[in-house]
Amino acid sequence: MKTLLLTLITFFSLTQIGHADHPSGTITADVEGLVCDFCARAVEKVFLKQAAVEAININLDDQKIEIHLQDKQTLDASVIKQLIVDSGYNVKEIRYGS
Amino acid sequence: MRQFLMIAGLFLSLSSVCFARPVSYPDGWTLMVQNNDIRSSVHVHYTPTLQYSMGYRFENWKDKGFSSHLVQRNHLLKRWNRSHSQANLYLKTGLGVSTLEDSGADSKLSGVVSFAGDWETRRYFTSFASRYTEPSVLKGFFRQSARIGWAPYIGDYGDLHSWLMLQIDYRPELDSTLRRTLLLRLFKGVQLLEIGINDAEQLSLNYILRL
Repeated sequence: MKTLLLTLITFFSLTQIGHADHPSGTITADVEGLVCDFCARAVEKVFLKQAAVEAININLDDQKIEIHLQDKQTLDASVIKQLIVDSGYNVKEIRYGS
Repeated sequence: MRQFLMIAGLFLSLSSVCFARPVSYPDGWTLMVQNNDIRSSVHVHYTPTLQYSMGYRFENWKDKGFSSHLVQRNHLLKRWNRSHSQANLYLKTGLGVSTLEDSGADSKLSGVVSFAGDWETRRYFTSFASRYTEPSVLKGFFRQSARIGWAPYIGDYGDLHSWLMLQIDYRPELDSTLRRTLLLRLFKGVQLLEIGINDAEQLSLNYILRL
């Protein structure tokens, strides 16, 4: 029982660390300044140069960028933030999905 | 072929100092072609970082009879990103040579400096630009330009977007110092097209391609 509990604790701890340091799947970023479709092309150009990124969706109404990653690929929050700043926008929040 | 030549000719005969953002995104190339009753220009620039772009600019001033070849640097001085708006200030400087047409005279060192700003939401747009041109082959001159714009509908990302704009140009050295131009701006994807007509019923045609 003690071994089982230890294994479970270790597993959940690693899962949490995995989400924090190596996010994968779909990532949503809330940004500021994303008002123009023509200028927002920068986001697409900048993110699609990353091998880990499969596709992105941009929602101008909600000021959100959805980043879809390739299978088993990761993209750290610091990298995402820098790419958004390079695209010309401010980052409010980054959320990791499935 | 004749139609193509007419369209190409129109492209190379219009312009404004108050057109579109002169810095794109890191590693991005931009082609800007402007054509109006007084000037034609072609500007190709490369953006190494978000702070500036560098490029080649050709201008033909039809009303003054000279042309310039310039190396131009466009510097993003400041950007304000807000929840539903963005504003920018730019400084543009160019250095090159100018030549008087049909004079046979040598080219002379030429320079331009321009200060520009814009503010926009998804519905409203304003911009201004003030520029000094020193062609050396002629006396230097100032131009000011301002725009207001309104989007009749709010499109999603990837849609065809339309804007109605009014541009006012101030040209202190000319007889008709103020010129008003109504423009229709259309853009989709990486291409932007503007068609305008001014109060002297002369056409403008501007085009931008971002790669």
